[in-house]
Amino acid sequence: MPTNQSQLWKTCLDYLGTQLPSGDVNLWIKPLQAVENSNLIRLFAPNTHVYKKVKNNFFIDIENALSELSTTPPKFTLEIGSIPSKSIEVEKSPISTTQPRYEPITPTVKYDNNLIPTFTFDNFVEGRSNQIAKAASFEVSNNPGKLNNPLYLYGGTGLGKTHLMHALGNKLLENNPDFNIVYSSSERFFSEMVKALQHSKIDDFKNYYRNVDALLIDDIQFFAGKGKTQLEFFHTFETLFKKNQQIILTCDRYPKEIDGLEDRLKSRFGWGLTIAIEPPDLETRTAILLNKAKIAEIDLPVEVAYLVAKRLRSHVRELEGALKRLIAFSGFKGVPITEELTKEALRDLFSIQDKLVTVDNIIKLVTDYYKLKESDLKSKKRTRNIARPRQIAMALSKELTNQSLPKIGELFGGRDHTTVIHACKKINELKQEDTKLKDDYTYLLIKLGI
Amino acid sequence: MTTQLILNFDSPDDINFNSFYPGANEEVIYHIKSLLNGKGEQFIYLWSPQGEGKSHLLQAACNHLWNKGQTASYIPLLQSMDMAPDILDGLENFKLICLDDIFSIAGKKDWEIALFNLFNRIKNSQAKLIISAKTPANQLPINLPDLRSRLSWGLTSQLHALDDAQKQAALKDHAYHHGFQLPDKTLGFLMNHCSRDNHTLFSLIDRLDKASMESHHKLTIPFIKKVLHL
Repeated sequence: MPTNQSQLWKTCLDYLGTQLPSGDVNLWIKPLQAVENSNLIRLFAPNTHVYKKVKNNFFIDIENALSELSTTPPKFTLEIGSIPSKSIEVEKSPISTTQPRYEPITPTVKYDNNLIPTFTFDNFVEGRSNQIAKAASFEVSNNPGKLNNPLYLYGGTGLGKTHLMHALGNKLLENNPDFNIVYSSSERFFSEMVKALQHSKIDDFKNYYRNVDALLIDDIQFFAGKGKTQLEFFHTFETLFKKNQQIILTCDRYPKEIDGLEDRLKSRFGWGLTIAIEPPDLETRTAILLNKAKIAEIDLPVEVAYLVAKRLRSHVRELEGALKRLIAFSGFKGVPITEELTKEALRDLFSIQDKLVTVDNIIKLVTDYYKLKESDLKSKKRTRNIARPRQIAMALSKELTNQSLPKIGELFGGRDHTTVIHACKKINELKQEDTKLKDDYTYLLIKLGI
Repeated sequence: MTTQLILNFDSPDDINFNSFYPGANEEVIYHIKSLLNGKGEQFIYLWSPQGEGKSHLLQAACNHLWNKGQTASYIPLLQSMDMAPDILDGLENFKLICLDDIFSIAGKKDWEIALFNLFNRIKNSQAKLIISAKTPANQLPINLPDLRSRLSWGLTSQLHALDDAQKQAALKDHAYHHGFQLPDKTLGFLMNHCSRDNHTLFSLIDRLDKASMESHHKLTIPFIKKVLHL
């Protein structure tokens, strides 16, 4: 039986540590995985880069070390790959030619769906910002390949698109256990295609992706600028669409806004149902934290969840990170999570957030965006082109900072706090009826890192 | 007087958790050890200003696994900038990946995308990840929003600077592990006359130790002045 990291290899590493600079040993040689089998040591490099470096710079050193340490030095090979996965040997006695790790796809290949089972609809927290996207995903999981094909979910990073996509895939599989479902990041699709091209296996690649019952591609914005990938994906899309096989895509923006993507793909992405996921509101953020805490079996008081959700407004990953910090801090101290503990554990995170978003930052951003002067926003002028940006800036200041309303009024040229209240009310009303203003507001939120 | 040749006994194995003076950082060490024994988080984002010991902890974590015959990769990104980002390929098959000084890749599109892709592959694997940086994640000048958000996903831990008393204790410990005594007067002189960041202080101690062995001279203040040209 092969043994991981044979004793001889361990001794060899120690020996090389005395012969070569420690940086080289740590960076290039220690990451090699070793398997010993009778009189052979197989070394695995994680990637081509490490493989080439070791082959060109350290091969002789390893050979010499093994000769030095053993009376009957074993033969050794260097390959690309890792122990757990099937790796293709690329070097024999001592080195032959390189073959990357592409495993050919045969018609009998079992589809690897790559779905994460823990991402389900049940643990997806619904709020105003994402309820339509959840409902549409649920509908598609029950009626794939029908009206909502493709389903295109878009929105900023860390808002739950990937969770929803996996939930949809898992539900689809639950409803149709015989379905061939494939979830892939755009990078995986791209790299598999490149490997297929390199090894004349492109027909296998095409067969694989064009015979799925549902194809889920995450973050398709990374197809931008990749002409061959887009061409291949175009034909895959056409094939699946004609056969009523479901396509689900996520992206960080609306199809027409993806620079570097072919127009025919942009238009096809909009054929089915296109839905935006907005940043979660305060209530949803609070619910997300409570839900995550429940999954982690942690007792998180509602007031603590509210406190964190109120202070951290950007994306769900930041909330998760904060919760992890809180749980870790409480676990280390051996004390329950309270508001006081939360303020202590997240002090740095809170202070950074406060530092990032100030009324001054908001005024600067808004005046830059509307091409005004800061003095205009603080002046007594009440013409529409100045008053509206001023109201937007006031609304942003109330939403994003902890400044009192009198203080906000003061920072906007010594205005009364009732003016700030009026501005916030006005902007909230306009966001419901004026799409342009709503888009402007969302854009400014994103620019402020929210 | 003849100068004695000094053999280099510094071994990467010296970089371990025991040779790290914790000061107010017991919690950080606890979380890294928890990550290593599979009970903690999958990803730790460790930040502090330069010279507080981030590289030491990342290498200690890798050494810990290497000594157990397990797979780990330590990549000092600043020194890796002349390499292609494909050095990150396949690392998700490792037990542990330590990326030191992510600031170096900020704003470099190819590296940002490669790291973003590594993140996604790690998320679906058993691999653990520790990234070090000199600022909190949301202050890094990372252009790719998808990467920026992922950096705040894990457990963020700040490495706190040692105060002067802790630095002196740490330097004494360091000297003791290298087999020599550091007199209080000498230590006090160094603290008053040299830059007090950890990296400088520890380098000075190593330099003085070497000079002292070469010339068979005790670490007196006049000797230090001479060696350091003060």
